[in-house]
Amino acid sequence: MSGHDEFRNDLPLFAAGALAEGEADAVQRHVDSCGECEQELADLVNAAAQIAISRGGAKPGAHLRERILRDANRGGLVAKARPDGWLPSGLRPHLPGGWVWAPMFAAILFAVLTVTNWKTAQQLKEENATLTLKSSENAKLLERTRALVETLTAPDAVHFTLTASGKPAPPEAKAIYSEKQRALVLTANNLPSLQPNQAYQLWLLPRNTAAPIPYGTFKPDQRGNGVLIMTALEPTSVKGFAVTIEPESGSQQPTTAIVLVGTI
Amino acid sequence: MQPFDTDSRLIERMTNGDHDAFAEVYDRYASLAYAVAVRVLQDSMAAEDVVSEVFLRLWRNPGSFDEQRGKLAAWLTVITRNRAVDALRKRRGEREDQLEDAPPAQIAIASNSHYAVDFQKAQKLMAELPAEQRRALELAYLDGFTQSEISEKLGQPLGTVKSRIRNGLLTLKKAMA
Repeated sequence: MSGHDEFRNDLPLFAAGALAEGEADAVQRHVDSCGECEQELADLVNAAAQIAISRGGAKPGAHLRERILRDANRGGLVAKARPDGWLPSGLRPHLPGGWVWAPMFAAILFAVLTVTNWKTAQQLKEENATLTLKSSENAKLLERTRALVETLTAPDAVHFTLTASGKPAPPEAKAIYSEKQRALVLTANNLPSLQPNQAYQLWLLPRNTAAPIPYGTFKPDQRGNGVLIMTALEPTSVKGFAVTIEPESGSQQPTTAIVLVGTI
Repeated sequence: MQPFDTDSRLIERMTNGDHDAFAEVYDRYASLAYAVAVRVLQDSMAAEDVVSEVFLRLWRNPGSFDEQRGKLAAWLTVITRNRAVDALRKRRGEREDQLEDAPPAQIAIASNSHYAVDFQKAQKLMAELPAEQRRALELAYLDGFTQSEISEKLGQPLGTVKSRIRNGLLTLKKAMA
């Protein structure tokens, strides 16, 4: 079997993500230089996407949308479409005889310089986009850290203690919520373990309406401990918090009985 | 009433800095990307970070999506899956003693609110695969295991695992043609 045939044979494994790093790198290098394999890989990658798509959709919280659109609005570089080629009218050849070559040469030189400068600018834009992304990631980490500290020490922060009664080692949780900081920190202890497809879900019990608002999900570790940190929340006047057991992707409404609750 | 824009048109608008177009792309495909990330990472917060990174990457470089290579839904699925598996493998490397089997996910099927994401068709294609091929593909694609790790995990010869992944994906590709 030729090298090409071997790489082609590995394309489905590559598309499925089943190759170790070194093997995957070798296939990628071959694909980069083989148009036939590049097209085959594209088809296989689209087919592999069905594996994930078949799992269905799960609605993320509204806070995620707000966070992403806000981060996009802050400015990150947006790649512009490649400019169409053009020549300034002043460089169009119009002199008779031998003089026609001078503006033509100038036009060619201008076009070469334009393309070169565009490529350089494009490279710089791509590098800037990478740096902006890294900067955004650092900014995100700083924001979460800042929110954590300020939530814990905010003057208006209220500590809710959630308990369950009648159990030898009662599960408990503490939720610290600051409406001004728009952040929440939840720590939970002694929680029973869950089925593989379940998670604990936190609900905000608003002061003014009856319906609980779904917040994040979390899974306890082997010791029954869990932590949930949420930032950029919609400011809401809170009566309390509750926890139920839901499908691991979360629910829009509670589907099981409350296992932990704490109110003012 | 706003006219309906194709994905290609939305990407073109994003290239010109149209924030509303980006919001529309998010509204169309966030549930798909989030479902993939949650399935791989088993952690809603980590999944949110991955979804955020993927969509912001698209916003900052919409030219990175090439419609000649497939639909935007599939592209977002692949990028999200790859990023989530990277995070999962990194987490595994940091916490080898807590490595657990990824439980089978039972994410509720969202309503088919957009023609470009045919959940039911994808479900049907996967259901028609032999169970062992489906399992091998899911272990690789959704749980981030290499063929060698799957072979060890299932106690099956490496050649068998390779054949199952290869044949399963080729069957999916043929069904989509």
